[in-house]
Amino acid sequence: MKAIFKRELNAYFTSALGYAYLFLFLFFDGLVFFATSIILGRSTLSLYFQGIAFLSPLFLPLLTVRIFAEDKKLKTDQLLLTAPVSTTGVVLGKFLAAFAMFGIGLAVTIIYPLIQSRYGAVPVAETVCEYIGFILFAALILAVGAFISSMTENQITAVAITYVVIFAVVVVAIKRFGADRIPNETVANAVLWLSPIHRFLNLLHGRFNINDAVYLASVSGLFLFLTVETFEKRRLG
Amino acid sequence: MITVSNLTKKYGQKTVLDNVSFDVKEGEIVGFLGPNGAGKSTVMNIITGYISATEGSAQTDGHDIAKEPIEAKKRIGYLPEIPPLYVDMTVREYLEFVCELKKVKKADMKAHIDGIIETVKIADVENRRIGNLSKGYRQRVGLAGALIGDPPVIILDEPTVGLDPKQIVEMRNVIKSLGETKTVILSSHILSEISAVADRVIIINRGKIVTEDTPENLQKRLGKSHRVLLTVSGDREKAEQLLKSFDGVSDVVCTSSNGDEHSFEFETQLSANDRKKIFFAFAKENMAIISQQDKRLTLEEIFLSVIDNNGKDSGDNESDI
Repeated sequence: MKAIFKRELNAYFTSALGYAYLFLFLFFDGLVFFATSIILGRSTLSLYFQGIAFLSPLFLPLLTVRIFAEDKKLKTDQLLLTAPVSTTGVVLGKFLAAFAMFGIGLAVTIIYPLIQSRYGAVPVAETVCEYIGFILFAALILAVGAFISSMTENQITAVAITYVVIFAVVVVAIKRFGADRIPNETVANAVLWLSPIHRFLNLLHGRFNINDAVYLASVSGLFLFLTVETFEKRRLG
Repeated sequence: MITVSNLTKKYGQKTVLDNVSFDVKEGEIVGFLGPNGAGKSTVMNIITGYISATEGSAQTDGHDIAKEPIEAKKRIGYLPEIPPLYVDMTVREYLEFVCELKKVKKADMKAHIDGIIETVKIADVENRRIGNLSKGYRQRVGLAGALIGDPPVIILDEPTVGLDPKQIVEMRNVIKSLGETKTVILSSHILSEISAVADRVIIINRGKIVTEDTPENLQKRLGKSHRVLLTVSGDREKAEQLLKSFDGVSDVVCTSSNGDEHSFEFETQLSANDRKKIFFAFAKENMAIISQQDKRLTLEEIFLSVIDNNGKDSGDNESDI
């Protein structure tokens, strides 16, 4: 798993993909921070995270689009699946590399609360909880992206399906356009209950709820499990 | 070293492998022959754990690939038909990655990679990106990857496909030298290459083993009657009639004529001693025999003959060659 993690992480920097992700993430992330904290003068990051919750699903799939699809195209999956490594090890190695790339971008955002702290008191516990929420939310998007990448060898198809899935999730969470338009209230509530982005938004404004955190982590786990199963199923033919 | 028992692989209704069984002894080089779609790659992919069998088992050094996949895979180096290479890596980076994947100790890694680079002769490209390498070099880098971890079993699927004649000879020499210390299974369409390196040949068609034997025995089994090439100087029609007049000579064909020299090919069951009669008969007619030679069936012809028989008798497990 460690070997695959290292290779995948290096691969982000030998292609334009890793740099493209970091550029897009940091550029838009910086804009959101500038708009929500500098212009609006807020001393918490809640509004920033709210903005980034809707934007990050656009960039995060860049990290997962190639992780399995490229292996299938280059036939390097034959190397990985015939090496003395478990399928779970292969999937986790690749997922953690994508997650580490996300972490590199996220590490830069640590300067935001530091900047805010110069102008007022930053609520530390609330900010830490929001970071945890964002990390769990990103992990889920990466897990969904990894699962979709494992099902196709065409990277364009992988990214297109990922965007469709994530767009649906995002739109549903915007109550006015999504959930509120579902006529049946029970169905609308169920959809919102299932929506990862809605769960993440629940974690903002200092309302850290363990149920939402566990939900996000569990769904990530589920999609990673499904990714492993996709490989096993393909092995069975 | 390798025991394959009753291997069957089905994709939906389609059976691509049907009850295939064979053993490969330690230190043996076994050649796998068959036309496209015969099931060669499927067998190799099952032994190496890339795909699983619908029924049956494949064991390497006593470890079943389905039950103990990690242990079985540790003992196998696999070069699939398309070498599984990361084109964004340099050759050395790739080999280091494969070392880590196969858990080669970090302290031994450099010496191990250096040794393999020398064996497969890729020292001049070790710092080049794989994406910029020719097909021949890529194939060698793939082989180098298979050798990492010093596995006792090497499985090579079409190792010479797409190589030029010089590279084929080089690859053949590498395979031969590997066979001195390792168990090797290889498949190929270039059948002369199999006869050059393999101790035993397994011919597979339509997912079934048709026959298996040493290359020499296969030639003997099929070569009950000989084809002879004869070149004579003199009248062509007279020479042809003379040949046809012998008992035990059949299927006389004039293959070429150059002035008054004519080449004939024919089937004969005459022993070498009896064939002296041909010489004296031609001498009596004042026609000189320029050359006379036995034409042994090439492995290619054996292969086609076996496959052809199998096609006619489809449904039988063994052809009756």
